[in-house]
Amino acid sequence: MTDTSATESSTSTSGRRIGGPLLEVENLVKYFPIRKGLLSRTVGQVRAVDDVSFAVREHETVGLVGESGCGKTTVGRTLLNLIQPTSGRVMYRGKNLFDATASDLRDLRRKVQIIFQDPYGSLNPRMTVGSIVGEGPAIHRLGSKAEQKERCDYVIDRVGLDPSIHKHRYPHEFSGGQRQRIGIARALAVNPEFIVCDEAVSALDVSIQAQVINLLMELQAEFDLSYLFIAHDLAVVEHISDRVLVMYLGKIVEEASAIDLYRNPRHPYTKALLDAVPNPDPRQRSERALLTGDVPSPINPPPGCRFHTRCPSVMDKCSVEIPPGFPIGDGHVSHCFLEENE
Amino acid sequence: MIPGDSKVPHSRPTIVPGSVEAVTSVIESGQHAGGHVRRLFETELCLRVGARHGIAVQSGSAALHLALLALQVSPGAYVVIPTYACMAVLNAVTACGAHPVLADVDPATLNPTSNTIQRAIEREGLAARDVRVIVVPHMIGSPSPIPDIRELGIPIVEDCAMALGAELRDEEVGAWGVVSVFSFYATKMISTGQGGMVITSDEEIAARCRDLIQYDNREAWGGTTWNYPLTDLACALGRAQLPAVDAFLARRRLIASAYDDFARRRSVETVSFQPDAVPNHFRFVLLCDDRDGTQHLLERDGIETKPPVYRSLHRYVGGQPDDFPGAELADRRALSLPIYPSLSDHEVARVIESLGRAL
Ligand SMILES: Nc1ncnc2c1ncn2[C@@H]1O[C@H](COP(=O)(O)OP(=O)(O)OP(=O)(O)O)[C@@H](O)[C@H]1O
Ligand SMILES: Cc1ncc(COP(=O)(O)O)c(C=O)c1O
Ligand SMILES: [Mg+2]
Repeated sequence: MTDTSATESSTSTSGRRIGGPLLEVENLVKYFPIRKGLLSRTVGQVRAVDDVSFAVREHETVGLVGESGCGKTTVGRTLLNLIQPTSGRVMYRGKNLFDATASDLRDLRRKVQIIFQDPYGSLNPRMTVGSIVGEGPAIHRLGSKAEQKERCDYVIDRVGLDPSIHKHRYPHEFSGGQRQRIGIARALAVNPEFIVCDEAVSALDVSIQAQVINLLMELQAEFDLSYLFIAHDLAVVEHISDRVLVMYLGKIVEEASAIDLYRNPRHPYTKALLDAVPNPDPRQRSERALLTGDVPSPINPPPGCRFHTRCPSVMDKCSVEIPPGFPIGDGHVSHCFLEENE
Repeated sequence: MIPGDSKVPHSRPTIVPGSVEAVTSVIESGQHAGGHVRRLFETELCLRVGARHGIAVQSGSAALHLALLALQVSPGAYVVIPTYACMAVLNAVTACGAHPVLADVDPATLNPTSNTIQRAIEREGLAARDVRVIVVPHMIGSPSPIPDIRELGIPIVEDCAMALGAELRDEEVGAWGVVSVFSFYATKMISTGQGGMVITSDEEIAARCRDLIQYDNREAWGGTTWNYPLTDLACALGRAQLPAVDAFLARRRLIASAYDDFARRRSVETVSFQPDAVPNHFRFVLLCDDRDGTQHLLERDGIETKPPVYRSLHRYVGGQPDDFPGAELADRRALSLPIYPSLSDHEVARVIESLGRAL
């Protein structure tokens, strides 16, 4: 259950006006079949995303956190129609992404963009920066050739590169941080509304990270962007997000404003995740509520609450029933039976 | 002093590689106060301490002043501060036209406690709800008992001027208060010459801070604003040091453990820490029976030491010594030894040797 009631506009980080719902994800499910043998018989399923609902509002940054393999990327890629969901709906400005007309789909392919973690792997090594960034505007026929070129030069300059020099170079000639800027310029070139940032700063050095984070925040204000910011670094997510979703084994377990989530985490998984923030200082790895045990397999996820096998507060019903979202107030929702009697 | 040995200063900034280049590139960019490097410095410290907004300003004093203004500390308001703190803390309160309410400190930790704060409020004939803000410094980089102090229900400004890198309950300091402030004065954990930062995760407070330090291009005059932003030159110097903070902490810890060994061997009293805290060892403080005599003997060996606080604040404003027994003791007994990353092993040995003769 997602709190989509907060549709009235509110102000957030750096005075942005957060508007109405832009993207609404409803009961999204994605199972990947596991095939075996010559006949590619389906022998099981990876339940990568299992009944996930949330909304992203105009000009809002929603963070998505969780351990590796919990389904964050799968959620992001489904939003871009890069993979077909097993079931569920994704509404973009009230239109269902999965039964959009060809022309709507074209429009969505422009409005919704993605920035990847590995900017090298996602940039064609045989294309110059100019053609990488220029490809989108050409495909989407955004204005005249001259206008397209002008837009490309503008975004290349805007991400801190020099169009006159860098346009003619190839991705391998750039550092990691610069390649990430190219990825951002490519996304920006088609004048998008919504960008999925999938671990967009995770591979960068701390000092470069801040540069890219600041760039993303400035661009958001300049171009009225909304972001789904997927990351495993909780400090980065706290800094950049208005709201944060916590995912565990294919499900959202908690959702709250960034401040609420970090100041007042309610779900035992969120608490463990926040406590497990690695301390750079080896002298002090004290006994925290560290996550113990392995993440169970998404092929055979535990019944009931998926976290019950690792939960320090587990109760009898947790292994039987799937906890619904319990509202705590101000859009803070925890999917945990501990909230039931409060 | 052995001939050939130079003086061991009480503080010395640590220059990290890349500092000169970082500052030079800002000078050459021609953008000395455009704010680009400032915003990076702000984001980087936010990521370190876990907060949403940073506002870099020209000193820790300016940061404190700005924090109080942003919390709408108005003339006549009551603000609790510890008496065992530097004058900057008092100045920030009086600059707002507010009344300082001085709290005593625990002479063992040099920090205020919820008890000393409670007593200060009662002494003034006030109740907790009459107090607008409590400024809680982590003296000498040793975290104050903020979780207890929070129970009083009064907004806290966490003064981390000395405490960058210290931890309380497994969390780095800097995000325990509604607002936190840092100093980057030349003797602090990292130096920008003069400098400071306000850190907060509260959107409104952050917006107010940004507004309060912006004086140009305004449609109307809406009250005094302050030209406090830190220059990009200074921020470049600060940014260069941030990645080295963990190494700084490690070196300080090593020196502190050498001093600790000595103190234990010789049964010399030292400042104690909260059990749930990890100090950053910004200062190593002895509690001596004859503080001035010890200081004098060390001075003769070329070793500069200082009381951590020049003089408790109640002594400036006519407070009764009886009301501040903890601070009175600290004023008489506390002596801070040289401790900083660039202090060499040889210098550490000299300090210990000299202490051995003095005590
Ligand atoms: N194409 C695929 N075929 C089969 N299984 C897949 C496929 N893509 C993802 N999965 C599985 O789905 C689960 C979720 O993967 P996903 O990449 O969405 O996780 P993630 O949260 O993004 O992880 P990370 O933090 O490591 O990026 C994993 O168990 C993964 O192995
Ligand atoms: C606790 C405390 N707060 C504030 C300050 C003021 O900082 P600055 O010297 O940068 O103005 C100091 C300086 O020593 C301090 O110790
Ligand atoms: Mg992923």
